[in-house]
Amino acid sequence: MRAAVALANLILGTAYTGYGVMTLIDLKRGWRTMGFSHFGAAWIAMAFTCGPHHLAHGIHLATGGRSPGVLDLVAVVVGLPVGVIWLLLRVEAFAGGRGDRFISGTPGWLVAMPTLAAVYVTALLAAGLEAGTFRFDLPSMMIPNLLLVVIYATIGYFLLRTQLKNRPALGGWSVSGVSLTAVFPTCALMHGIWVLYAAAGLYGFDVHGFVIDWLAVPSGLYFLWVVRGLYRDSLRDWNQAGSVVEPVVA
Amino acid sequence: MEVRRIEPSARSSIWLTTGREPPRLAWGDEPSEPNGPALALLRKCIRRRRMVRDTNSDQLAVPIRGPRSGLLGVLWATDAGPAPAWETTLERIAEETGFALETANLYEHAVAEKEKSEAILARVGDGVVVTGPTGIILAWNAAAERIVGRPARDVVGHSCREVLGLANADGDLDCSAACQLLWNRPDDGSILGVEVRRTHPDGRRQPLLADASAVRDADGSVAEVVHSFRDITRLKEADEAKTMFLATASHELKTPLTVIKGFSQALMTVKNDEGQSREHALAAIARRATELNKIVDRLLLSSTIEAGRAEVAVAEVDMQPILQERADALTRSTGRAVRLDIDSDLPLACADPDAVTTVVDHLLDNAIKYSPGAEPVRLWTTSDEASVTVNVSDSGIGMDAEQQAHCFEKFWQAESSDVRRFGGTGIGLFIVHSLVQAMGGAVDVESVPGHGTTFSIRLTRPGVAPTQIEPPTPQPGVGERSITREFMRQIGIPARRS
Repeated sequence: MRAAVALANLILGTAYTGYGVMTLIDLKRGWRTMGFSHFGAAWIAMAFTCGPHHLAHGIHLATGGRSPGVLDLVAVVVGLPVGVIWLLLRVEAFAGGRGDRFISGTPGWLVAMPTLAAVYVTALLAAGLEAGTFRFDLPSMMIPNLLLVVIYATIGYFLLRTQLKNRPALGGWSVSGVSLTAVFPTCALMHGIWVLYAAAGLYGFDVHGFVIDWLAVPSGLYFLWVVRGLYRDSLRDWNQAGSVVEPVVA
Repeated sequence: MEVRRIEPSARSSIWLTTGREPPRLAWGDEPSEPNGPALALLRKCIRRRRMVRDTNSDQLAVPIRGPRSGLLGVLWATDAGPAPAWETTLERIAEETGFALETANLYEHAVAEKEKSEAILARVGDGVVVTGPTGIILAWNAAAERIVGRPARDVVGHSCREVLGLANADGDLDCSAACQLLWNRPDDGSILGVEVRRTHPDGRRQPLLADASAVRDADGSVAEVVHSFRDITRLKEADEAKTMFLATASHELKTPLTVIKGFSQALMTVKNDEGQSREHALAAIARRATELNKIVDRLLLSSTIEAGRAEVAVAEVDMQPILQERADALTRSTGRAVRLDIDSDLPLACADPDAVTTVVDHLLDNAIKYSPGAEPVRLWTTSDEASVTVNVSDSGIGMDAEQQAHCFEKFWQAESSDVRRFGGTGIGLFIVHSLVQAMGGAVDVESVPGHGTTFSIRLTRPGVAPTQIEPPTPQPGVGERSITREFMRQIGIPARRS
């Protein structure tokens, strides 16, 4: 199991770091015509903390003797496909491809998704609470992870809200949107599981995780600040360069 | 008509009646109405226009006259008694009542006229601004609010110069001493307006057609100035577009003609030219003639569409072979690669095959024209229960939101030198839009400056009414190339105009 969790984390870490690199290239490409993007910068900051978090966790599991819990495996395995789907779509778009797929209507598996997600979260938390006796004796590692749970869940909420809002107009769902929406709650859950295992004494202090997670908090807050500014139109960004959510219909 | 008791008393009643109808009682405990003799008395009073007394019934009728309106009604007094003082009193009352009634009528009329004027002013399409002689704004109608973008409450009481800030070709108009528009206006009214412009706070220039006329006092001095102005931005844009079209079309026609002329002259003058050169010249002439033919066809089609004579024969069409053939034809003629991504089970669409061919050709031509180098153009399809969508994407210079909003207009071309150098007549997308609409479909554009453009045409599937489909949106199945903008789109960041 150790190898599986380590591998999944390494793949996920590479994928998230890949987002960061692609966004960096994207930011450089668009800078000349659309100027600096706070949104892009914040997304890079998040990707470059989220990715290394998983990479560090994977390396510690693979080489550092850290013992993974089964919930860790479940959380990362659930998060992995959606993360990889979004990355592949972005790679496809980068190469000049469609970069998205359309799900016509609402198929049964998508209808069942909220129920499955609720069952999954409940089961995960219930199983997590069974993991052992909890102690809050590693606050320097647990606090940033707790904050990240809140930040990523908030971003996931914004994404979910948009997908629900877009559905009637589209008559279906965007795979890119759905997968990105799923990425953030699964990230939040992974950090939640990490906190549970740290509290249960499974995970100890490691300086890499400590630095990365504490950097992830301001990155996430910066991202939320940018999103808030863009909703309120108090920030100038790439959404002024053309249609982002509102198609221009002649 | 209305009756009011103006002095009820135990002994006598005085009623005011206007007009010839029987009076109605407003209040009182003696609801007597003019009976036969009383009505005869009232009619007599009205006919004679003077006070009439009926000594038998002890009734008195006094005409009520307005200073300007003539007879307004009659005062009718019952049990008037013989006292002559009554007559004097009633005459005074009738006189005062006449004055009051006329004033009331005038006021009522003035209020109605004012409401009517305000309603007209509010509904008129031109901005109307009334100022005092020193340029202080007194009135500002709804159209002015719309054109200038400021509500009446913000501008009334402020100076015209400060609020409108008009300028003409010579510079800013200084209306502080006298209205410059009024000053420049010929007395014979031969000019309907002068072209001025105002500059928005964001720097945007708004051309206006403005006019002014003076409302003068009895002594001939200017009491108020009524300005009217119309936003002619669209007219100016259309005018500029036509000018640009003439210049571009002339250039487009001239280029192949010059080549044809040059080669044909060469063929005529060089008698013993080698066969290879002759073939080269003839090939160039043929190629340029084809180009010329295409341009003229395009112009003719555009004028046919504009005249409402373009007809499409909509049938159930399999789009796949048409799209494949057009992509192949483009590759053959230009050498540029077209990446085809057509669903193998693409459903039939309601379309005219000839119109689809024209539309796809225009879109592919456009994509090639604005795509640099060897970047491939993409032609791909999507479908849902109601429609089939054909998309053409390029990786060219792209368009900003403003350009996207206007790109389907006739003669429209982006003004930047980057685009002008690509040539074209500016009617290709107008033709696309018109033909797609004629087929009951819809067309949309999604573009990112510097990254490329995707045009999407959505056509209905058999059995679906055209009204049941909405214009294609860029979201279904089409992601944004920019990872940043895709994330922004998915998180619901609203698009803003820069």
